[in-house]
Amino acid sequence: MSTTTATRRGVPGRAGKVRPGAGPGKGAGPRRRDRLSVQNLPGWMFSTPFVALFLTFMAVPIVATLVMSFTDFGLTNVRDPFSTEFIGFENYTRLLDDERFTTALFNTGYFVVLGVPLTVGAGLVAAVLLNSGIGRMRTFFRVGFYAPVVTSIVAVAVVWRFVLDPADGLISGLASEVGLTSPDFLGSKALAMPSLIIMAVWRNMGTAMVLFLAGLQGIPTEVREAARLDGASMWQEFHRITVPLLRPTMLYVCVMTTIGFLNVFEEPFVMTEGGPDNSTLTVSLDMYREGFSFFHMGYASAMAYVLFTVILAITLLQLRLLKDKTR
Amino acid sequence: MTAQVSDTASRTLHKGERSGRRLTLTALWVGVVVMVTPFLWMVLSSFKSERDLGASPTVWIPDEWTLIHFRKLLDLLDMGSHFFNSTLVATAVTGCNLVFCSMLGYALAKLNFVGKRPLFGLVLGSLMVPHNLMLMPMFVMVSKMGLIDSYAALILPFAAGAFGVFLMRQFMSAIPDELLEAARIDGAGEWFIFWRIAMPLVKPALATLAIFTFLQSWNNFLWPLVATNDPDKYTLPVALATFAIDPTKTNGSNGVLMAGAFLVVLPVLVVFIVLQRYFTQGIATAGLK
Amino acid sequence: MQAIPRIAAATAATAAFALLLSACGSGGSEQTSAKDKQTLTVWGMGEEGKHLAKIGKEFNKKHPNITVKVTPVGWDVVHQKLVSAVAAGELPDMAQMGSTMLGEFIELDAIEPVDEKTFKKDDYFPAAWNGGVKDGKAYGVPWYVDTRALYYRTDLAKKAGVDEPPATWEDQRKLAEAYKDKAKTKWGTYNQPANTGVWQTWLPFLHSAGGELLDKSGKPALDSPESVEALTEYAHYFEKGLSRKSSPPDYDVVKDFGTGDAPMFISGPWIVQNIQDQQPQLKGKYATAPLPAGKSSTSWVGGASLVTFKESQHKAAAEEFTKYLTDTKQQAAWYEMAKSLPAKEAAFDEPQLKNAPEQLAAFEEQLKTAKTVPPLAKWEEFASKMDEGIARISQKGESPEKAAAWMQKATEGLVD
Repeated sequence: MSTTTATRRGVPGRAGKVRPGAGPGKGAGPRRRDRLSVQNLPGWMFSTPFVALFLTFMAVPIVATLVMSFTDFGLTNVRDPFSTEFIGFENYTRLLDDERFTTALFNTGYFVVLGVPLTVGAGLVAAVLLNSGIGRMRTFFRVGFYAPVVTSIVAVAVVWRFVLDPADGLISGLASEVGLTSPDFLGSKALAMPSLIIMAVWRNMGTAMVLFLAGLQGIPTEVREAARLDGASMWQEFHRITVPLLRPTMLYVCVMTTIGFLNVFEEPFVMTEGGPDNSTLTVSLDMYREGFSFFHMGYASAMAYVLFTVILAITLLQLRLLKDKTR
Repeated sequence: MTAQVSDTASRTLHKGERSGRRLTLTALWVGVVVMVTPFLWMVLSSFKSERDLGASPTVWIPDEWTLIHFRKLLDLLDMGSHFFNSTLVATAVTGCNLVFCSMLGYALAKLNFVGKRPLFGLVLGSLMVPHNLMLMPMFVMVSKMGLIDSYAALILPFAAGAFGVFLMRQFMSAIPDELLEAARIDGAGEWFIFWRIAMPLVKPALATLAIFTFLQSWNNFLWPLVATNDPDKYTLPVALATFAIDPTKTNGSNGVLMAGAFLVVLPVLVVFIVLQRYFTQGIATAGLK
Repeated sequence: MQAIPRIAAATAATAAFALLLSACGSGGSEQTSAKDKQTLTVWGMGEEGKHLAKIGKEFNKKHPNITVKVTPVGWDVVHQKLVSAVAAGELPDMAQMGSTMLGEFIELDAIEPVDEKTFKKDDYFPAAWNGGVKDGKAYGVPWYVDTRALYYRTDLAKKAGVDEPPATWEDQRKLAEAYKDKAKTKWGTYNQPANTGVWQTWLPFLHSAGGELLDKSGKPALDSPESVEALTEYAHYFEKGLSRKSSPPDYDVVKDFGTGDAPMFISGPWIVQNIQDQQPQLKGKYATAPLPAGKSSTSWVGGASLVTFKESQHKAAAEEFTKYLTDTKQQAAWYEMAKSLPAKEAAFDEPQLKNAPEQLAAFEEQLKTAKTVPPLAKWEEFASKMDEGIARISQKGESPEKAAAWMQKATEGLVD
């Protein structure tokens, strides 16, 4: 627990948790305070490349989109932007009454609430199993579990449609072997979303796994060996050593997966196009259609910033919750 | 009594460990089959004849193996130059990200400077902005800079991702402070500490970042599509979408599609296989001992 | 986190939007004569773009001073790319444009009107020409066309005791039932039930019922009695279990046509080529026919037109190239290359089309009476509302009257 309040203050996340044996820092306080004054120059030098690129390429579009969300920017304004009118919060108030949008919000929430824990859990389990000394096969398994991540979305869509096809798909084939009939997964309002969630877990757990594997490297082998010598079971080792020491990674994986899932676009886009009857319409998909198919840029920008606010709130909540637990 | 208990305990532990390992392997095998099947499907399909592709019931292993889809692809597009473009762009983007994101990640985790908190807020915030919509203003801007059809337009906007900064910050903050302090007391400069001490300690994270960035850049589609008009500058996914996947013409013919998807994925898979050795237990921790 | 807007705003706010606004210059003032040395930039779609590049080289042999540079753009993404290009003033000199996109770019004031003395309306299929006419001015020269007709399995029809192609809606219903009952096929026909583009299958029903998308005053007419009739006819096949009620977004009917699961469907001329490639065993076992008639047998016209952009400085050269592409002989040669039907009626008398597969005859027939899809600025949105309306019937089981009223209400604001 060597890091002190100086680095922790306000900066969420967990620092210096790698070596639990290190004990509290010895008189770290005053030294830290010295550093505060000394490190302005290197601090900003290290930040310059990112800040420069960010200001050049990201800041302008971000602000332009924000400004656009308060206008009625539409198709004709592409050529004649001066006729754009500021309409204040009208786009935002209209969103509240937009039935499609509220449906999309609900669907996105559904997707996140089920999808994120499953993905993070599956990724963690896979990483821990792969890290538990299974010998030479490890490389093979690692590549195998990561394969869905690199598989192109078009291929994913073709295969999953085949898997889920109610007539001559993989599942329906297996079901008929045992005398059952398979439901129409993507054609059914009740089953379409759960099907997409399973698919998203399959597609994203490889990413979580790789991050957890990298995080597991931070746990010194001695700690594990010591625990084993003390007769800890696999579960105890996982529960008492792996999980707590993996917190910085866990925080990262949770935050990134949640952000990714809140932005979910590709899965419904290639699999269902939001159907049937809008049951898989997500916020990003709705935004894409409003923005690029119908060219209601102002309206779509407002959607983007509502989504942004939701993501921001949830991320802050996660940072707070996960940080507090590490104390 | 006590001895007996501990004796049986250790025996069950042994037994438990062995059956545990078997269980682990079984679980992994089941998992890997589920995970890999679609990938295999993609590979197999790219070697199937049209007849096998259209067959019902579905044919898994091709009756006759054919390279016709790959030939068609070579015929449709100038593989060499698109491959070169994609490799150049993805490599440059990955290289820049590894350096720039680590730099800021290190600063955010280990240095104290004025403006650090808002900077981290900025990084987190830009992670959350839905990027699709920014395409239009970004395009207008880049075209005003005269960068359309240049490699710079494909590389610079992605040269320092917030994603990478956050990742590197998390891993950098796991480095014990004593290690860095010791170096400082020895009179090492901040750059030396970063490059020679911090970077080697976060190798698994660097490998992870490299894999993710390369994958993302390699698969990036919408931006290179909009930012290039010159077919000689098309990246592989853009070229594929333009020349090989014509919805009105190849509808239903998944062979070319699958062959293309397979070729696109191949380099990323190679990068993953090469880099994943950094995940092997021990390399990272060696430096900490 | 409040820092994000603060920092960003301070540095970029005003500059950003000003930049975006200033992006859209006028331009296109100085014109180059067709005789000068110049490069003409053209955007073509997908594989057709590739063919177009070849034609560009041939054109260059005849006009050595004009180099044609073709950028092929994928169909799925061309809309995005064109709109971005308009915003940045990065448009090419000319482009191939899908018929349903014309309205939007006319509205954007991006397209130069066609010189109607050089390109004569009467040479082209009327519906194709009119697809580019807004307020009496033509904006696109039709390049190739497509339309919808009926595909059906003749071998299975024989098994079901039917020898003639279905001529009326009544016949079509009977054939679908016969397929299912007597030839024991899984379905009787395929009417796309939902998802993007359902309107393409439904619109032939509307036109054949005597209906129109817009009434005489230019307002949507989707709640007309004809529209309700067309929806009722369309829904009939779902109600009776003659057509599947759900299908995946990229559902490929050709496969099920091959197995006989879906022995009948309505689609465009390119399917002839797809069947030849993917289901060669069907040769001689299927035929095409004009749409079964309600009040009449009337389809609609799609395809692509050639447009010249207002900003272009090579309008004279663009006109030369457009002339070259729409020449009757060249149109026939284009059919050989891309298997797309010529937009010029005269080209159908050329040998290449005389020797075309017999299945294309129904499309030629259909083209003569097919109706125009009007160039609406908000066509995409208009079409998506039709899609949603039809999905209401197939997915929710709503009545045709209710769905028609819903479509009408949803589209009213989309037409000026």
